[in-house]
Amino acid sequence: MSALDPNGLRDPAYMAQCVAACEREIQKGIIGQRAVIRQVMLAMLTGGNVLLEGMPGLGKTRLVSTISKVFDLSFKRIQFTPDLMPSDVTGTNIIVKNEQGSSFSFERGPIFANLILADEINRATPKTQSALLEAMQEHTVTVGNDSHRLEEPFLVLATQNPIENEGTYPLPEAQLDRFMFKVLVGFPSKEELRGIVTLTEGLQAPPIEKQMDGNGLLAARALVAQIPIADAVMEYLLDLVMATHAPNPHIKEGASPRAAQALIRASRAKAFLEGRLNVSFQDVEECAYPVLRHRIIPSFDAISDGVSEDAIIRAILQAKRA
Amino acid sequence: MNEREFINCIKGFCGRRNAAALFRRMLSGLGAGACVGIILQGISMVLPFYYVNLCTVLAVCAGTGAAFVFSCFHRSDMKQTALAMDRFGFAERISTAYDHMQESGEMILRQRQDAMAMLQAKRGQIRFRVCPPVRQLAVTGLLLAVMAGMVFIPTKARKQAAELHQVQLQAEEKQQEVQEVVDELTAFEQGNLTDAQRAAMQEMIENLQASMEEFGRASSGEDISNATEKLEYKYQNMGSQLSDIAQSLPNGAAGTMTAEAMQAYANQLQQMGGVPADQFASNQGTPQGGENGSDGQNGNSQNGQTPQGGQNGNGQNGQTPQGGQNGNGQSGNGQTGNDQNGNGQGEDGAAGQAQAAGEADAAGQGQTAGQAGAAGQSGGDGDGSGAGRGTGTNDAQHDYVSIPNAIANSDGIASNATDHDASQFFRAPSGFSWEGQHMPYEALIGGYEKNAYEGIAAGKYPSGMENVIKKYFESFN
Repeated sequence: MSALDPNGLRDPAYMAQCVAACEREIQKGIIGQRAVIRQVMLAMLTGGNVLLEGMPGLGKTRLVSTISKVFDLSFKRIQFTPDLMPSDVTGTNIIVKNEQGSSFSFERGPIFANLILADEINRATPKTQSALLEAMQEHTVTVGNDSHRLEEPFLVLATQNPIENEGTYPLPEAQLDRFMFKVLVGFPSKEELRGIVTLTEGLQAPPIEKQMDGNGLLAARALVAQIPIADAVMEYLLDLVMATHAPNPHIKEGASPRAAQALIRASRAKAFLEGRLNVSFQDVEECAYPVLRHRIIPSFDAISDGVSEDAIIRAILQAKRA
Repeated sequence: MNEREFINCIKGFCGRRNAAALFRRMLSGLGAGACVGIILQGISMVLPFYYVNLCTVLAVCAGTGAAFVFSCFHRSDMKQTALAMDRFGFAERISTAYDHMQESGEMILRQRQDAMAMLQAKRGQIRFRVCPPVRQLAVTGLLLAVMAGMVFIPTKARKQAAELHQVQLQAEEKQQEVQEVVDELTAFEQGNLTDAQRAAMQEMIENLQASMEEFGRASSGEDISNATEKLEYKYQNMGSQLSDIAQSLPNGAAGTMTAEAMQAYANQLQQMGGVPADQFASNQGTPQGGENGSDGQNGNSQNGQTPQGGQNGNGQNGQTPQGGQNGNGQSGNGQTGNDQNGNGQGEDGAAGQAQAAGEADAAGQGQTAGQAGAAGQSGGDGDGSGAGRGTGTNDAQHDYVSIPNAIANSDGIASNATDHDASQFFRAPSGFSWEGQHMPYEALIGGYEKNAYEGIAAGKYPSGMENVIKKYFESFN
């Protein structure tokens, strides 16, 4: 499939097939990591930003690159370093000399792309990190007195190394909350590793073909946003978020209302990806982990006991099921 | 499947689901009631609990009824049913469609069609079992069986509970009877009565109320029996007193009416006290008991040397206590004979005890006659003025009989006369007597008197009876 049928843009079944085809195409370029691909696809369908956490060399950059090819989107990579300045990300006004004299002209930074890979985002200073805030939330960039609209679809995929803490600047909670998902990129299995090696070191890597364009993605997003949710499912979803604020020795601070919004969108996108036009309890439960894990601030007890965010979420889900 | 069929389908499953919940909850209620019943039955095996079976049935009914009421008020609605249907692999399609039934929109309509299509295809997979689970049925049945089995296990506590219940019923019956008598006495016109008569009437009522309290306190058949005996005694006394009052009333229209009613009620009380009305009437009219008492005295006076009269009189009367007159006369005579004999003829002594038996049958008034006999004893002049008014009953039973050799031999009961004041006897084949040793009359009366005064001191007797008891024993002195 190389071109979308314009008549099918409003057909949920057709669009779901297209998105599924995109996912399959991405899997051709990324061996394993199906859960990571699925979660990134959910983010693509909802317009959410993704924080990828994992060791170097697990294919994060390749994933973003592949996605950009499949969706035919512009892609920019920003390597975050301590000396990276905000203007290096957003762009800046420069003096331009022409026939009329000299004037300021806005030089777009790398953020002006559909897909942004903010590599090792926690290595940049908070000042630079915060330069992303407006872009991630409002999809605009303000330099001086001028605001510049970012091209849709816009998506930030940031990565961070969970082990090396020396010389890093942990993301503040406010910025973490802007990420719809925090996706844990795990080490591949031996079979997956064999596939990766074969794919990357082989003579003929399979070509990645475009499956959808930006307009198709936006049309799919519009459909996803219309998917109805049963009252009971909505109640369950809200209960989950509220449960993070209930007295819990392992939770210092619960999830924000933005978490509920993200969970609703993610659940809808998951239902859409699975060819359903309604959200199930299962959708909510599966999306709860990437949505909530970076929004729950563990207490000292949880950290000292080695209780992870996922374990806390699992306990909440089990309590709700019972 | 269209929308109407979709709704009807949910409605149908809703009905099944409610029926299933009703059966399941009622079974649970039944099981809970059975558990309570088992506990109650267990308690009744240890503690007296007469109404345990009734309570057990009530517990079972209450459990089932509560479950029914709970089910009626907690019926699942269509929304809940849709959600329950989704658990059969519909991934919340049905509940989503049902929740958005009133809405329109392309996505909503598509979702509804998707849900209806899937329901049409997978309808057979939805199974709400109306019949409760087999295990629950088995457990409930087992509980009921255990409970029913426990009902039939006899225990001492249950027997005791039944007896206690019987006692309570008797006590209530008696209390009611006494209350009726109190009401009757209260209803009598007392305008023509003297102060003393009114006081006597009031005392009667108080005595009866004391009896009611005594019945209320009764906790065993023995208590009831004792209280009944006291009550009958009171009836007799009251009958006499009431009769005296009736006879003393002046002639006149109102007075006569009251007197007649009072006399009739006095007769009735005598009947309640164990004296046949006709006999009571004849006793009142012809104090023959007194004559018998005279006979006793005569016997005694003769006894100075020949106590045969007393002996004979007693012996005969004791054996045939057919009338209160006889009984009383005998008592007086027999005792007198014994005392007079002094020098102890074994036969006389035995006869005297036979009088005591007659005494018991004939009631305390027989003692009065005996007293009269005692007068004869001291004076030996034979002017016994025994007022023995026969109040014995025809069917009175002798607890103990003392049988002299001569009579014993004639009756075929083995007994041995002793030298003076005691005789040994043995169980008779016909069951008339028991083993035991008879004791002297003085010692016997002294023992009774001692016990009576101790009882008065301990408050064992109803109010109003103390003076009666004291007078009774004082009459022997």
